[in-house]
Amino acid sequence: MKGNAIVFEILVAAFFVVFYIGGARAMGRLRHLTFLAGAILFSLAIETTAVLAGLDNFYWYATNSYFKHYPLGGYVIWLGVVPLSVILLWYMVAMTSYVGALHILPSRSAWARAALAGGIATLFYLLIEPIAVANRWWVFNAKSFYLIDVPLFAVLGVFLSVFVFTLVFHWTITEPRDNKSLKKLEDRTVKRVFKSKKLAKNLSFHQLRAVFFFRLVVAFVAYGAVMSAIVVALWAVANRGQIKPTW
Amino acid sequence: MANKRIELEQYKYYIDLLVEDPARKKARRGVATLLIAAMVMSLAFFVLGFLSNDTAGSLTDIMQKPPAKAPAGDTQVPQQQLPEGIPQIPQQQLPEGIPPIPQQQLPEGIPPIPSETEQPQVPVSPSPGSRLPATDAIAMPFDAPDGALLARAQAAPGQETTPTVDIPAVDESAPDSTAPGSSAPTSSAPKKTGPGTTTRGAASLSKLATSAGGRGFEIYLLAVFFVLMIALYVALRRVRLEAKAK
Repeated sequence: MKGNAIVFEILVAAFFVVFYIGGARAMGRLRHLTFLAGAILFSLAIETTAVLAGLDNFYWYATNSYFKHYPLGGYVIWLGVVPLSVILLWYMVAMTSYVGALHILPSRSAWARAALAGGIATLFYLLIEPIAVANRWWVFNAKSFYLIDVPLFAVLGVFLSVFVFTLVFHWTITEPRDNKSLKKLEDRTVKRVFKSKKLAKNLSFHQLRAVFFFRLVVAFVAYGAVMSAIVVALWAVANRGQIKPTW
Repeated sequence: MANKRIELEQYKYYIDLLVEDPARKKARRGVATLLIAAMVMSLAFFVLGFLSNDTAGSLTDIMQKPPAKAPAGDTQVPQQQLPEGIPQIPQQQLPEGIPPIPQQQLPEGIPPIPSETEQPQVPVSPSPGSRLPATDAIAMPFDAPDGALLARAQAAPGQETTPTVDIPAVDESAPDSTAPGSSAPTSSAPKKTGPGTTTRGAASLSKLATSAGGRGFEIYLLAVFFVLMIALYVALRRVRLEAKAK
């Protein structure tokens, strides 16, 4: 059987409704909306960067005549160069991992919870990625070190992205706290907008949301720096060539 | 308590969170919904992975064009393959006055053309720049333009020379599967023979799928699914214990 991209898209869309309702109940409507918006922006930035850098792509159906034989053979809804369903899948995985980690380790530090959330998310993607590669939902192009046709940087990238995202969300929305090194930068930038230099725990929810998105930008830059180093390092040791469409 | 009350009045943040915080029972139900939905989603992917076992075992399968549904001998090009705006050319409606070509009356010395089912297998991945005979049983190259298909449709009946499909030469140094319109960076890496032949990875997907009596991929999926289920179940159990304790 060939699981078409439309199967994946319908599957994700159906589950998204359930996750949205469950997430809103578990976290509260506003917090959940903040989580959803942050997850969409964060994962979209990561995936778009990966596609533009040539690491992977979702265009296999569009670049081959194969898809023409099936109605709606490729992805239907796109956010730029990334299908919406891929972004929603990341949100669902991150949400489940975060909520699961909160309950598995209720009294541990935010670092431990975020690490566990990253671990659960990695398990999810270890299940999904080989199926996605087999069905060409997405294709990896980068020369790298591959583990069952999934590059190692993709596995590490999932762990790191969920780790960073849940850590930022926890420290900004769930249990607001300030980071010494970030405080000065926030005072000069995002807090200047609403003219306040209060500590994070003393800000209103709407102000916290602004701080959260600002911290996400910083987290994305840090994530990009770390992942670039990992991708380059794996590229250097790998000897695997590009995947060609005529393969 | 008084200080807390002052804080509540002073800072809108706390008020927001108090309003925003869902009731514990509702929150627990939400968490349980999330975890159960995640389990079902994992199960769905697991089943989909099982069904994709044959695809994982031979990764070239999915790259091939599906077989034409037209019956043997029917040379009509499927309608959906033609670009929009180009009318279909009727294949079996010869103009009046032109007699149909007899099918089974070949001159002596000329071997009969084998039927579709007897035609030899043609490699799916031709070398760039090569020319393939455009017979019905041959899968079109994936990067062949639609015009190539149109050229087949317009071939005159009784043409003696074998129609061919030109495969444009592919620059192998350039990334192939990139977004249309986007310019991906070119790689200066030396040419490779293809995926799976020179990898240093632990195993390729096709190797995994064909190992353990063809059940390697299924065993892998089962192992990951099992560990994931344990993690989600532990979280779900904690939520239920929490509900019982309070």
